[in-house]
Amino acid sequence: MLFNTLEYILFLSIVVFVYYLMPKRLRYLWLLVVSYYFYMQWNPIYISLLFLCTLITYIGGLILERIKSIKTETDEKSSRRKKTCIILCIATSLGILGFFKYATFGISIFNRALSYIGITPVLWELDILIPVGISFYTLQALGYLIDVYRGDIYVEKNFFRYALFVSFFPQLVAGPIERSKNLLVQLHEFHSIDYDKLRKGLMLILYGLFVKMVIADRAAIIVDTVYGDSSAFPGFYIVVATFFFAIQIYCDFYGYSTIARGSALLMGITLMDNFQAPYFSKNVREFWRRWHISLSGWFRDYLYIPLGGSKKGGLRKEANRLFVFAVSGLWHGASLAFLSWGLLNGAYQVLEDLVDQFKQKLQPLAGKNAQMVVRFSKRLFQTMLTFFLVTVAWLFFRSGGISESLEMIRNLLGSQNLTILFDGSLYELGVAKNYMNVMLLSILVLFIVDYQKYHGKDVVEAFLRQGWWFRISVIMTLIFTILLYGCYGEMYDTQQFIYFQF
Amino acid sequence: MKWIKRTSSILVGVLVFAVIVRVLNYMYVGGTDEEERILWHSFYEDTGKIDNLYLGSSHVYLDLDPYQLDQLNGQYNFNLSTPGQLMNGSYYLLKEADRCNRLSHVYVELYYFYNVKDNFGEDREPIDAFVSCNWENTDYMRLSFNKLQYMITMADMEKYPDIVFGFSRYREHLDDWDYVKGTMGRKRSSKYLNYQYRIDWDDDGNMYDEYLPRGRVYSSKKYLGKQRFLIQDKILKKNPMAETSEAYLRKVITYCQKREIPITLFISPIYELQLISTEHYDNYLNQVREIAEEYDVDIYDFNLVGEEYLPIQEPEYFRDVGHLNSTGADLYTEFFYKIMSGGAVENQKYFYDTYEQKLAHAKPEVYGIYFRDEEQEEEGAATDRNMFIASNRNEGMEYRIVMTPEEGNAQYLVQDFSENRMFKVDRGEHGTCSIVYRMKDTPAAEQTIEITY
Repeated sequence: MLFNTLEYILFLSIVVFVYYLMPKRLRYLWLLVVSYYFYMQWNPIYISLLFLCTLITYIGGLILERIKSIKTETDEKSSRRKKTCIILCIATSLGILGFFKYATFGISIFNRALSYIGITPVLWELDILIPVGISFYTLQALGYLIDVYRGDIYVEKNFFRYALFVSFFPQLVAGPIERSKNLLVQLHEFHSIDYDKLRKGLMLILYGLFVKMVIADRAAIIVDTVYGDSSAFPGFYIVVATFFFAIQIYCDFYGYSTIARGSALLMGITLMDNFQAPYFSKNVREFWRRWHISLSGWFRDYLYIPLGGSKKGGLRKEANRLFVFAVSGLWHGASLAFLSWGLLNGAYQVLEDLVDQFKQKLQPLAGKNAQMVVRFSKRLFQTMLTFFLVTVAWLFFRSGGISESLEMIRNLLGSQNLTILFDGSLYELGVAKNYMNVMLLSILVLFIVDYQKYHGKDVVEAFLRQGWWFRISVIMTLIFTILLYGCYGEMYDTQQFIYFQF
Repeated sequence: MKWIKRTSSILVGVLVFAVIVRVLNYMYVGGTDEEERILWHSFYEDTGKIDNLYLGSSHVYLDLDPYQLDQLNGQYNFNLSTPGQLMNGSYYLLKEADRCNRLSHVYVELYYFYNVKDNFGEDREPIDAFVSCNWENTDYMRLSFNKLQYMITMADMEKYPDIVFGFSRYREHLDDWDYVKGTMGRKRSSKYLNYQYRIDWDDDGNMYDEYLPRGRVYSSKKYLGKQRFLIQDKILKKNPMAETSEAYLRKVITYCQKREIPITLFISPIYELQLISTEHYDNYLNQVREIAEEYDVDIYDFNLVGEEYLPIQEPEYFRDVGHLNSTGADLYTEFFYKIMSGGAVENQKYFYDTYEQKLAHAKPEVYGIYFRDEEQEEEGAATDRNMFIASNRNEGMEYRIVMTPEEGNAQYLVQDFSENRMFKVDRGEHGTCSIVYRMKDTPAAEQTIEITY
């Protein structure tokens, strides 16, 4: 059940309606039932994995609590037992995740290595369908367990409430990977109908559908055309398609996250914002603080910092960073292309650190009171450079393999066809002129909204404070842009959200 | 007070939305579905009057004349037939008619094309493949629980926007101002406002289709001999009926029987070229007969009538390969009435048991050529096209085939009096195909047919 379908809108309407009709103390049970139903729309069998992950981390939390409460034990013994418990729980959960997500990849790598040294590859091969959202809910559940271990959150004793925390449907299949301190706490609260939250939630859903259906899915047509046959579309076609992929993946994921936030808000629950105008970042480090914030935050808190973070010297810090980004790449999928993408993003940041050190040495030489124009130009250059670097990395992400990526780069460099940008050739990539123009205009709207967001403004709140006519005009424009220019209906296949596969 | 303000602002918002939808519909919808508009207008004007209801696709509104039937049976007849009417459409239209009238008899046409699955490609159910055939009805139906039910069940949920918001189907014309001007101009014309519609088929207006009230399309168009060249994409294997078609046919019958309205199933005559090209038409016929028998309902396939009773298999009676023109319709309507007013046992003498039997008893004839592109595409042979001669003899007839391509290419002989009925032609080639055919045992009686391909 995709967010950009009427099926979901109908489902959500029923869920919200019944939610507010039910007695407050039973509402979480209703949400649990519908969340499991929602998940079962993909592959009913895999509900058992969600349940297993919930059970392991729930019991793990209870055991940790029990160990803490035994007063007769020494601190050292207690600490050792807690460590054993959490390692076991993490290993089991990651083991399940690893099996379903990486076993096929592992076997193929192993076989390739065997072939390389002249040994016959093993015959058995696994053809496993990756359970939707497994990477998201596993990390969310482990985050809770680690928080309990650290004493940052209380142990949730109500199994059903905890199960809802792991499976809450708006963020179940593609995040945001919520922290227990935010979501679990809210699941204890009794939410009354809040008109302001309702309209903000609806506005978020509408905006999310707009960026997904008008921008992301339209850009996908161009991207698929060019990436599907890069030899037929070399040079600047690839530049354009990679630019559009940068827009597509952002709008696709941001659209999903925004609809997720809006859906949760209809039930009075506030989910974290997963994106903070990432393409306005002035360096890759900042980009990663603004892109997929819940995942970056998770890796920072539960991997980078435990590895020592930046506290153990410059070299170790950069090694940690590279390691974390390699893991982040592999988290997206078991392929060398994702690994390269992760490492490239890590390497960018290592380079930025080196450049920063160099710049600090040059700082006294530069004028402190640079003019505004100079500051603006510098800022613009930094933003564009960051966008360029990130987009280059997206090429690896989209290509699907190392050899395919290299092939793309070869095709990109092999043709000087700059004229295609002006002679109308781009309209032959599957998106007609009027749709292309509306998409570009919508991208401009997106950037204006993001620019406000970058400067800390809550655009939706600000919008809702405007006069009725302004609001209704914007709402109608969004609705009719979706109806007229969105990808849906008889002529299009509804595009699945990209991050569902992770 | 706050809630009054909020509620009213929501209501005004909904109103604004509805107004914009209406404006967009006015700008974009209404270019291609005049027949439905006239039909539904006429239907609601005739509320309470209709005695006999005829459901089905274009094979009803072109082939059966309700005005002629009025004179023959002395009752009020109405063709609630729409282009490509699917069986689910027939079901909901039947309910709509029953809601507005006291029906004496219901006749349901069962043209095979919209009731069987696609043979090639995705093997889709007709209800999925021809969704537009349904929404063109709901566009003009009055709001009722029946209409809502029809809309909800006619397609997957992902097609709902196209069903509910007519303008969204015409999105390819969004910035085509000539299209918008054309649509709006047409809607302002007196012909449109007075529910008049006519298509002229030649510049002098000698051949035309005219849409009349009560679901009658009068056509003076003639099926010229040279046009007998047909693409065939449905081969009727055993039990070819689609699941949804069968389910809705059962619903139609059950509905009528529950409401105690007599129901008769029938199939209008189609030019033999099309039926022969299905290769196993009897498979379809057997299946619908079985269903009819199960419910004890009469079924008449007018394609099985002996030519001595209904000599309609002549191009001059047809508008195209599937539909009769008005001359053919007059002949057919009269015979239709004769059958419907006679008893089932008495009627048996007019009909052959199977289509194969009927062909075997007809005089030897070639009706045209058909070809199948999709099948060849599946096989990956894209350059040649398999052409088949549609004749009513599987053996004993031999053919001499001469092709005269356009663009100055030389005439060439494909075969010289051979029984082979299949031959290959380059896909890009167009011209005239001349077939001389004769029975092996009477070689002197040669006949010739010329077909443009």
